[in-house]
Amino acid sequence: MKFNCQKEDLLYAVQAVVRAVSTKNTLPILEGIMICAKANKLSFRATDLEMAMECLVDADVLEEGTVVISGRYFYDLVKHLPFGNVYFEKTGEQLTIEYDQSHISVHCLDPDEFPALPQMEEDISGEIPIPIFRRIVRQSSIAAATDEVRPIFSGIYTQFGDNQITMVTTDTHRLALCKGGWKGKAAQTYILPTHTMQEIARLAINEEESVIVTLSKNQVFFAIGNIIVVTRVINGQYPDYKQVLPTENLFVSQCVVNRQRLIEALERAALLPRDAIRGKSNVVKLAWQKDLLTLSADVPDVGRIKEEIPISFQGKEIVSNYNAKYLLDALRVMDSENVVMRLTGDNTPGIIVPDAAYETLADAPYTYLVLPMRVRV
Amino acid sequence: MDQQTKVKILDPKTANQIAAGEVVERPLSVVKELVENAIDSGAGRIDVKIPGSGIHKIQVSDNGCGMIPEDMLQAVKRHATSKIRTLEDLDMLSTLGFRGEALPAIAAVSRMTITSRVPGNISAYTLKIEGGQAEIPQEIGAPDGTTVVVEDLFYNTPARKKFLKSDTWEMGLIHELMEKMAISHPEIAFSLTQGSKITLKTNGSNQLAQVVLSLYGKDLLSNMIKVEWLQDLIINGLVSLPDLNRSTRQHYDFFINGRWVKSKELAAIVDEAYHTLLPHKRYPLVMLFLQIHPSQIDVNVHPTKMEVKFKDIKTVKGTLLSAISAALRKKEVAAPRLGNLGGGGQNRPVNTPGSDAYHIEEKSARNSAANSSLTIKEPLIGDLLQSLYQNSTSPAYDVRHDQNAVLSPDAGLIGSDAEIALDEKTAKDEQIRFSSLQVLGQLGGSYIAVYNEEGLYLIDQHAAHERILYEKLKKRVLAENVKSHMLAMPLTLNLTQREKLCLVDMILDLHKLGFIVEEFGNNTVLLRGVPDWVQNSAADDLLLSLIEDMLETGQTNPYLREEELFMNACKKAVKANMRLQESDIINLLAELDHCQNPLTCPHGRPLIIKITLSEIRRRFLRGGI
Repeated sequence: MKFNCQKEDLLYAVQAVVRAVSTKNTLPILEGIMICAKANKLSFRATDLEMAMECLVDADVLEEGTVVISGRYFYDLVKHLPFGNVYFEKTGEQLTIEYDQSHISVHCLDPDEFPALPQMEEDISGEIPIPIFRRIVRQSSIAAATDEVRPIFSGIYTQFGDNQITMVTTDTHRLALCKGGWKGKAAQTYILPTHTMQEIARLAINEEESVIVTLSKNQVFFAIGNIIVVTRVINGQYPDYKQVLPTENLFVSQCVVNRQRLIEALERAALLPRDAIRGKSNVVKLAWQKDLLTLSADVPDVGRIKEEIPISFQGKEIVSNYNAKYLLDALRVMDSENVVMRLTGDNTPGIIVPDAAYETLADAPYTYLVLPMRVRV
Repeated sequence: MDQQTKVKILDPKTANQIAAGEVVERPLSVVKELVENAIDSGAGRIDVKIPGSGIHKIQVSDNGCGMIPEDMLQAVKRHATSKIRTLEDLDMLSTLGFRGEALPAIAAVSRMTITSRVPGNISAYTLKIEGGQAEIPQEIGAPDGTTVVVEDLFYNTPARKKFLKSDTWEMGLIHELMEKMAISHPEIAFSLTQGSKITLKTNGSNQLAQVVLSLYGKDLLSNMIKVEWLQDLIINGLVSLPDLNRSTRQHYDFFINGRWVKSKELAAIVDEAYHTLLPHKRYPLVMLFLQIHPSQIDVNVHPTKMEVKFKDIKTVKGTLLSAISAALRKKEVAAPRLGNLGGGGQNRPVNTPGSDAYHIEEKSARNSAANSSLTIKEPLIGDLLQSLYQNSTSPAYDVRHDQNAVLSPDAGLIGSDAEIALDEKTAKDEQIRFSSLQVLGQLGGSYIAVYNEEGLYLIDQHAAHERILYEKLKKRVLAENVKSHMLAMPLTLNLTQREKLCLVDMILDLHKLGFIVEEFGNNTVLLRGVPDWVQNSAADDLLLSLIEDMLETGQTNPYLREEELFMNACKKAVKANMRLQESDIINLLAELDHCQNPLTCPHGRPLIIKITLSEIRRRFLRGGI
C-alpha cells in the first residue's frame, strides 16, 4: 500500500473518526483506526462496537491496500505533522510515514481482525436539516440517564413519524420531549445511544446541510457529508411517556419568565452548600405569586438567599422545592428568550416549554417535565 | 359404597413419639430440658453427669423443690406442667419451661428414672418409665431435690438415632449449652462431669464475672466491660472491649429473662453499637441479660424456645444501644500489644487502673493463659472467694506478676491461682483528655507522639483526623432534612409476598428515609420518590436491599450513607507523610476530645496506642518500680 495525502485531509478524517476509537475494550484491534486506500480515495474507519464511523477523503493512491494503526497515536501524530504532503507506505507489518525530509516507521495491527462495518442495504429513509438535528439532540440528551442501570433510559427514544421526529429521554427523575421536522415517512421507533447521537451532532457543523438517515433493523445509519456513522440500537421496551405528561386540564397555574434571568438566579441560589457529604444538593424553593417568582434557599448554619424575578402569572399561587440542577439543565438548552412554566400544584409535576407560538401543547417543539422535591422538616 | 376409611387417629404411642421428635432432637435437648426443669425448681446446685465414654446415660440432679409421687406420675403425661395453668399465664411467663412437653417427650424415646424428694419429707420416691410407660413409684432413700436419669436415648426410634453425629460432637454441644446455662444463672452452682472428668464447674456466687472467669479464663475477662442499664429495660452483662474480637458472631449471647436465645434482631443491634469500633467482619463478644416484662415478648415461637419475638423492637434497640455505648465510652485506652514481652502467651493487653474493666490479680508468677482450659481445679473456687475479701482494699492492678513473668520466661502454664478483684469502683469517666497531652512531635511525618504522666501515646494522624471528620459529617447528615426526589417515571418493583408485606409494614420508616412507595396491585409496588442523595436509577436496588435487611433483622439499615461518609472523611483527612505544625497537632487533639469514639478510626482500626510507664520500665528490665 502506497499513497500521498495532504495533512489537512488527514486531520479532518482522523478527527472525525477518532471519537469512535474504543478506549476501554478487551479487543486491542478496536484501539486502531483502519485506513483503506482504493481508487484515489482513503476511507478512515473506527468502531467501539456501539458506533462505527467512516470518513472518505481524496488522496493520490499509488498502490491499494489496508492498514490498521493505533488510533490515539495516529491522531496525536497527525496533529503534529507539518503542513503539506505526507507519504505512506506499508511493507509487511511496518507502516512508513514520510514528510519533508523525515520519516517515521511504526508497527501496525492486522487489518483482518478489524470488524467489518455493517452494510447499508436499505434505501435512504429521509433527511433532517442539521439545525433541527442539533437542537433536538441537544435538548433531549440532558434528561437521559448517565448510568447503565437500565440501558433503555440511557438512550434517546426516537420516533420517526410522517414529516416529524420525536425524541424522548428520561432518567426517571425528569423527562424531555423534543419535536422537529424531517423529510421522511413514518417508520419504526428506536432507542438510540445518547452518546452516539451527541457525537453525530458534533460532526454536523454545516448548518446548510442535512443529516441523511437510513433506518435498518438493528442499526441506524447517519450520513453527514463524507462521514457515515452507524449506531447500534438499544433493545428494550420504552415505557409509555405520554402517561406521565400531565393532561391540559390538570394545570392550575402558568407563568412566563425570562430564561436568562431565571438561570442566573438559580445558579446563585444553588451555591449554598446544603448536603453534608456532597457539599451541595441544589434544593431551591420556588414560590409563584402574582407578577413575582421568588427563589429562596435557606440552610441552617450556612446562610440564606432570596431572589425575586418579575413574571407574568396566571392561576393559583404555588410553592415547591426543586433540584436546581434539573431546572437549569433544561433552561440552558432552550433558546427562546422567555419560557413558560406550567404547574399542576404544590409538590406535583410541572412542565417548562418555550414561549413561542404553537397551537396546542402537543405541538410545542420542546416540553420538559420536572418534578418537585419533597422536603421533610 | 363399602370403602375403607383412610383417616385414622394415631395410637398414643406413635403420637407421643412424633411429638417427642419436635422437642427431643438429640442428647443436647435432653440436657437442656432437664436442666431447665431443674432451674425452674429453684435449685441452687445442678449437676449433670454423663458417665462412660459415649452418651449412653445422662444424669441431671438438683437440690430444688422436688416432687411428691403423685406429681411424678402426672409430670410424665403430655401437656402436664406446674408452670402455667391457663393460656393467659403464657403472657406472664417467668419460668423457662411451660409447654408441658419435655418430660413425656424424653420419656417416650428413652428409659427414664426419676428420683425425687421434697425437702422435709421423710423419704424419696423413684419412678421408672420405659418408652413412655410409667411403673408405680417406689419408696427409696435419696437426698433432697430431683435426679433424672435418662438411658438408651432413642432406643425405640432407630431412625432418629442414625442422624446423631459423633459422641464428641454431641458432647461439644452439651458443653456449650452448659456454658450458656451457667452464664445465664450465676446464682446456681453448675457442674458437668463427662466420663470421669469435671469439665465445667461454677460456684453459684451470683457474680457473672466469676462464672466467666471459671469458664473462659482471665485473659478474656480482663477485656470485658460491664454493661448496666436500669432505664426502660433492665440490661446487664459483659461486652468485650474492641481489642477483643472474633471473626464470627458466635459469641453473641443473649439471655432474655434468664433464657438463652438466638436473635438476629439483637445481633444487628450489637453490630450497630460496635459500628466503626471494629474492623470489617470482626465481631465483639457479648453476654447480655435483658429483663423484659414477659408480656412484651413471645417465646412460644418454636418448641425449642431458642427464638424470641419482641413486641416493640424499637425501644429494645434504643435502650440496648445506649447501654452498650455508655459502657464502651467509659473505657480507658488499652495499651498496645507489644510483641513478645515475656514467655509464651504473655501478650495480653494491660488495663490501666480506674477503668471499668475487671482487673485480675495474680499472686503467683506462673501462668496467665491456662485458665481458658476447661479443667478447673477444685480449690480454685474456694481461693477465689477468700481472696475476694482479702483484696477488697488492694490496688486494682499489680504489675509485679508481669515483671516476674519476664524474668522467668519458662514459667509453666498450668496451676494457676488467679484471683479476681471485682472492681466495682464507681465508673469515673476516665476517657482520655487529648487536649491535656503534651506534644512531643511528629514521627515519620505520619504519627503524633504525645505524653502525660501515665505514659507515651502515639496517634495516627490520618486516622485521628478521619474520625473527627466522620463524626462531624455524621452529625450534619443526621441534622439534615430528608429530601425526596419525586420521579417523573415511577419505578415498579415486583416483590415476593413476604417482601411486599414487610415493605407495607415499614412504609413509614421508608418514608423517613426518603423513599416514597405506594402499593400497586398484587405484589407490585410503585416507587414514586427516592432520597435525593441516591445515585440515579440505582434507587430500586437500594430499596430491595433495605427490604432484605428488614426481613433479616427487623429494622431498617442504619448505615445507608455510611460508605459515602467514610470516603468523604478519608479524602478530606490529612494524609500520612504530611508535615503538621505544632498548632495543627494541638488543634487535632482538642477536636478529638469532642469525638464520641476517639479511639478508633471509622474503619475500626486503632487511632491511638498507649505505652504505659510501667511497660517502659518493664522493657528496660527495671522491676523495682
